[in-house]
Amino acid sequence: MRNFLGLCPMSRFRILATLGGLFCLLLLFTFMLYRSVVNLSGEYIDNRTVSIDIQNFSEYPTKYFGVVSRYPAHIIYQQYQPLMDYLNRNTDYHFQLKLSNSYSETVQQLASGEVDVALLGSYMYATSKDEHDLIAILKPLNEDSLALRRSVLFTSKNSIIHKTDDLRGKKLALASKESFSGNWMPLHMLRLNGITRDDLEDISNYPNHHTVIHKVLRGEYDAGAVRESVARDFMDRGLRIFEYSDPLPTSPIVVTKQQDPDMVAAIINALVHQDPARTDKAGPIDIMDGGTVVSYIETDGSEYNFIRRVTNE
Amino acid sequence: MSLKIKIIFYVGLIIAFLMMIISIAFLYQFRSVILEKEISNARSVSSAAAIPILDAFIFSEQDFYDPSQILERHISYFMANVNGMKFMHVYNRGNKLTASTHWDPATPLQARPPEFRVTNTVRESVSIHRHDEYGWVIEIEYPLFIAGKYLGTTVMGFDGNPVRKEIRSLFIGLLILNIVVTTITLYVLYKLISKLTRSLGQLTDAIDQFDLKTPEKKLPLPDSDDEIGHLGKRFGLLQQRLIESKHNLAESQRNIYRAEKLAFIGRLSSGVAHEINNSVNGIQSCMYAINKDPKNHEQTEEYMKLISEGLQHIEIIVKKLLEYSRKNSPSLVNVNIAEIVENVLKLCSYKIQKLGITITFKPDTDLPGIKADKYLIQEVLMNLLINSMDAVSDGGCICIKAGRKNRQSIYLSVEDDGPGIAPEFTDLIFEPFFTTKDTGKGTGLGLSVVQGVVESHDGTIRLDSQPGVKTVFTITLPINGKHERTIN
Ligand SMILES: Nc1ncnc2c1ncn2[C@@H]1O[C@H](COP(=O)(O)OP(=O)(O)OP(=O)(O)O)[C@@H](O)[C@H]1O
Ligand SMILES: [Mg+2]
Repeated sequence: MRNFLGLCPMSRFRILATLGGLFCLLLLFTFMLYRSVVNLSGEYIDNRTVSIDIQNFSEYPTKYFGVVSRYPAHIIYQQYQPLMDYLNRNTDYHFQLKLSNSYSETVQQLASGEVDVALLGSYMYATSKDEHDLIAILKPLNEDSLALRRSVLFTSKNSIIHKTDDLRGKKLALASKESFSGNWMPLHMLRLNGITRDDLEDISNYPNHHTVIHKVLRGEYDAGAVRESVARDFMDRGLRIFEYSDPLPTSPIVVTKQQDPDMVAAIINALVHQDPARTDKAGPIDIMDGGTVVSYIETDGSEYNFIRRVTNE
Repeated sequence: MSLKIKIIFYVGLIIAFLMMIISIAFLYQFRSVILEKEISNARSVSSAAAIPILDAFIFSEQDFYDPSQILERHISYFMANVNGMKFMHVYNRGNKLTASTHWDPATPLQARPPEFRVTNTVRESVSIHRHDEYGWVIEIEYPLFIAGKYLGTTVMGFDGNPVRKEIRSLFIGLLILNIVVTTITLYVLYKLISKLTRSLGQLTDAIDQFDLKTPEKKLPLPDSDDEIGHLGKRFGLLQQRLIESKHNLAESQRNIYRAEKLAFIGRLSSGVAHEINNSVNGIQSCMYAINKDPKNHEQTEEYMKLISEGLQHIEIIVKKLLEYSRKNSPSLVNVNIAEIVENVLKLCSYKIQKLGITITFKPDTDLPGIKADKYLIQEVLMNLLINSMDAVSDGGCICIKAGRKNRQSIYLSVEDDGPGIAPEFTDLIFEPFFTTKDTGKGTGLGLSVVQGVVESHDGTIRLDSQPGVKTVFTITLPINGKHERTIN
């Protein structure tokens, strides 16, 4: 007599018992799995996170380091905080950034003692050093270990302008009147080519170098003048340089003559005498308005006299 | 366990297991993808939120103003614009709570952020945990760094319940998928195997039905176009060969039977000729002597007596031959073996007494009656008994036993303690005219007649003899008369 699945009752019982057992196990397993899957508790720490001790600088005297920018505060900090970190690690002072909206404000802060040391534009330094007893102590070196930068005249890729002489009757955009490399030096370059303001259709100043580039690339101006390092960033976006200036000194680190010589010496010591083997020397780099600062070199400020001469022309 | 069950069970187990492993791998993979997505989302929001907070902290550092107010504005902006944001706390670089969504004194205590975070290290961390108020929360602790400068920490809580729900529905979906796929596979498997075993069953049924007696009957073999179909076809061929070889066997058996019969007739006639010839020769020489001297009455009388003895011997031989030839047609009636034994013992009682032999007869209590030819069986027993009586010396013992051998047959044995039969004779004693007795005393036909009768009853006869100890002749007879003959 055949019954369920053609089995005798004994083996049917065995199979049913096995199946039942398996089913119960499966049920239990599913339940445990569910519990483990929906239980999200836990720490999910990314590998990139690092633990950093909160530094306590209170034992060192605080010094204020003036920098200029029209960018949001956190961007300026991103640029200059590494320099501060480097100085804090390598001097017995605690340096803190002090922001300002313009070089003249920073000069005022230097003069009033509100900031102890500042990064100034070379034009601002050259024009205000006598009035406020300022003294350049260091100038940054670029990738080629030169404390030099250049101004460039540029146009867009497809422009018919190929040399400075072609600028006659064209519209030219310049950077701020406080910028030596973006305003004074290009004007000097035009004069060397015998071009005066009247030979151009239009000549205008814009507050910063990026604006100048944008105006030219958008076709609002036929050509523009900026610092070389800024222009280089736009070479792959349709910018073409057609004239380079003679080398100019880089923006100096400035103090007042009355500044504490110990602090000045400490800064110079930390920034100039960098041990090439040290891993944290990458501190003072990446100044926004151009080029990568690799290190610094001492200066007596005399090379900035050239700027005075050009601006007085 | 049937093949079907085995296959379904093991294949089902394997499929379920594989499905489970794949699903679990899939589940955990997707779970981590979902979590990662959610966490990176939370981190993006945190880093976006960090920018205005950083600015606020920087400005407060520059101008020494309290950033709380502007931070509160940022927080409420983020709470309003970021979906699923549950709470947000901002700590300054002294790890003191500067702004929070939970200043409200109505907030339950455990939901309120600690006013100070007592820690010397900061790091970005994400944790997911159950919150009393919000259920599942993805909490991200985002330190605000600019280069090496630490400005504070934000702690943000995002709603983790939708993630959990998503993972749960993933789980349930996979579970259902698993169940459905396994069920469908098992069902298909069941159908396939049922088809397979059905044709297998068909084949075994066909094999069961196969009977050599009716080989012509067409069997319902499966004719599917697979291995089982082939098996069925092969079985058909095997059946053909069986039928053929059965024909051949019957044919050769007939041949053997014929040859055996001819040989037997030869042996029988030479035996008969020899026996009769002896007597006829004797009679002839007597006749010759009488003819030569007919007047010698004394001699004639003596020779006539010898002639009569010779004729008597011939008569006995002919009578026994007749008995022997009658063996093929026993007339079956219900007989009682015990009764037959008693009869025979009565017939022989004189001789038994004269020889001083002890005879015992022990029929089993369950000895059934059988269908047999009463006189032939009597003849058989008589022959066996006479042989034993001839064999035993004075004061010998003969033991007759009868009983049920199995459901279909009985046994009858005659045992004596005579000299026994030498092994070289055991094959010869059933031959007609084989005798060890003196001429005129035994004809040598007794055991042939016994064997013929027993075979005509479909019985068997067996000899067990230990020379010098005992001799047992055992015959078995079917209870219901002749067995059906399988070979004609
Ligand atoms: N019980 C026995 N013990 C010993 N020998 C036996 C016994 N039964 C038969 N034999 C032997 O088998 C032979 C053949 O027996 P069988 O009955 O065929 O012929 P027989 O007894 O010699 O002559 P018959 O029976 O024709 O008078 C006997 O001659 C005898 O030698
Ligand atoms: Mg005999």
